[in-house]
Amino acid sequence: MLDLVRDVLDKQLLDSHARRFGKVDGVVIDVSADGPPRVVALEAGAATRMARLPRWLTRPFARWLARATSTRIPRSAVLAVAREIRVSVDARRTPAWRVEAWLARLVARIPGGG
Amino acid sequence: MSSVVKKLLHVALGVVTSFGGFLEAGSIATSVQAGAEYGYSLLWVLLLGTICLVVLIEMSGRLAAMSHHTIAGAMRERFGLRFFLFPLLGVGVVSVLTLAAEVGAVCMALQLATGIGFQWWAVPVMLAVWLLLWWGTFGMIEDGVSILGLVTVAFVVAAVKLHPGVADVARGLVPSAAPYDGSRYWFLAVSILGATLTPYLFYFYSSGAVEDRWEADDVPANRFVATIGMGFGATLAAAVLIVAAVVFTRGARVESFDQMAPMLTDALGPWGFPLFVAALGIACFGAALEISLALAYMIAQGFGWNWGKDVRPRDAARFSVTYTLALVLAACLVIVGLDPLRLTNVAMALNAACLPLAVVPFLVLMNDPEYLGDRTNGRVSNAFVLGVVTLACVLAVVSLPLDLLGG
Repeated sequence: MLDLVRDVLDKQLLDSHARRFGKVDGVVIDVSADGPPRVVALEAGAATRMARLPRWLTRPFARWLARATSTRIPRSAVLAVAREIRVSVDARRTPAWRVEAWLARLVARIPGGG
Repeated sequence: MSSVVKKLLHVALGVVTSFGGFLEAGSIATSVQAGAEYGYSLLWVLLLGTICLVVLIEMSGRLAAMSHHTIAGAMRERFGLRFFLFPLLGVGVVSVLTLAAEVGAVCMALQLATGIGFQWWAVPVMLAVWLLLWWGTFGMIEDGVSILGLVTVAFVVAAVKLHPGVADVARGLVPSAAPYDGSRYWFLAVSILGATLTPYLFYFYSSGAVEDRWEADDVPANRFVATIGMGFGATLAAAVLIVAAVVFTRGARVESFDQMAPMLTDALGPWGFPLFVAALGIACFGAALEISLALAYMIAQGFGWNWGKDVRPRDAARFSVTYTLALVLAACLVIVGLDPLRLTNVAMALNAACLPLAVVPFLVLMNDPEYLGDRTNGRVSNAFVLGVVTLACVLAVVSLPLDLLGG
């Protein structure tokens, strides 16, 4: 029995190569008429994060946020929920890695960075 | 056998590094001011702050050993994103100011050594810190700088040579009210608390412990290192205060680092000036390295990015860019000409003001069996830390505006 807020939300995500690629910023729950609510996926990304903050705080970033996409990790890709949450996704192929990849290219150009 | 020796060496190195790394711009500046203006009578604040720091550092190591979590990581996880933003912003802003104070103090040391104005040194100093973080492995740098930091022992030698009255010093360790000018006295008291209890210190400590994979059986050694290392470190700060109390005319207001520079000359002769400059420069340089990393650690851990003291920048791009930006920001504050000592004073008082933000959620974590198992905090340490932190915050909120208006 998992407590979603205590055991899942805001935990460290590790990808298939044990890379730290973010925290669980949101949990996607399917509330259909028949049957109990079900966890469908986890989300990581600025858009999800911002949705959890008060509107007045995030309004200045609204335009940028409209373009941001969060990474959705289907429940089937979740391998283990322990101190960290291990998933079978390659972080490099997800939007969650976009900023890191962009900065890494920049950093690699600076001597000593690569 | 070899593992025992290794462990002992590890402990010894831990003691030496926390000893050599204890002094920084804040503790030097506040100790000199306190000693010059109030003699030994603020020593008790230093003692109180140090005991509290030992307790907090021990907690930080225990959290890491028991839960394998850093403070920032655990805070985000336990309290959620919304709440986490408060300590993140509070500690973040104050740490950037503290970093600027350290960079400024290194620049002042270089100004004292060369005669070239401190603002000119901001960019070279920033680059030197950045290059070491970017190119080096921090493990090596940290030990190296801390061992060089042993030059700060010059203050202890000077204090002993000046033969301070033992009874007078002992009396200073007993809490007392202000002998005169109460608002200044309490402002200095809160600056000392802020300089001793800078939040980046215990946030940083848990990161190192997680990286070194501490386990539950490391807790006793951790307790020992925290107590001895910080205890020795505080002796250095006390020595600075004692020297200042002896050599400056009582009540003299120390308002720049230049005024402090000759303080070792009485005891150490021609060696006094270069030793002071070296101690100031090296101690603050080491602190600048640590604070840059501590800031990047905190943000990376809060948002789940890769972090580590020995990772190549390319493998932790967001992390490396974060400390780079923090350094640029800090250097800008020095370049625009903010007086380094003034900056240090304000940063230390703000450190004290934001202590509740940094410490109270940490205390909640330390009482949570989910993280600590059967090694949660005792009531005494909870009450003690809470008491000191509340005192520091209240004093800061009351005395900082008074001092800013007065200055």
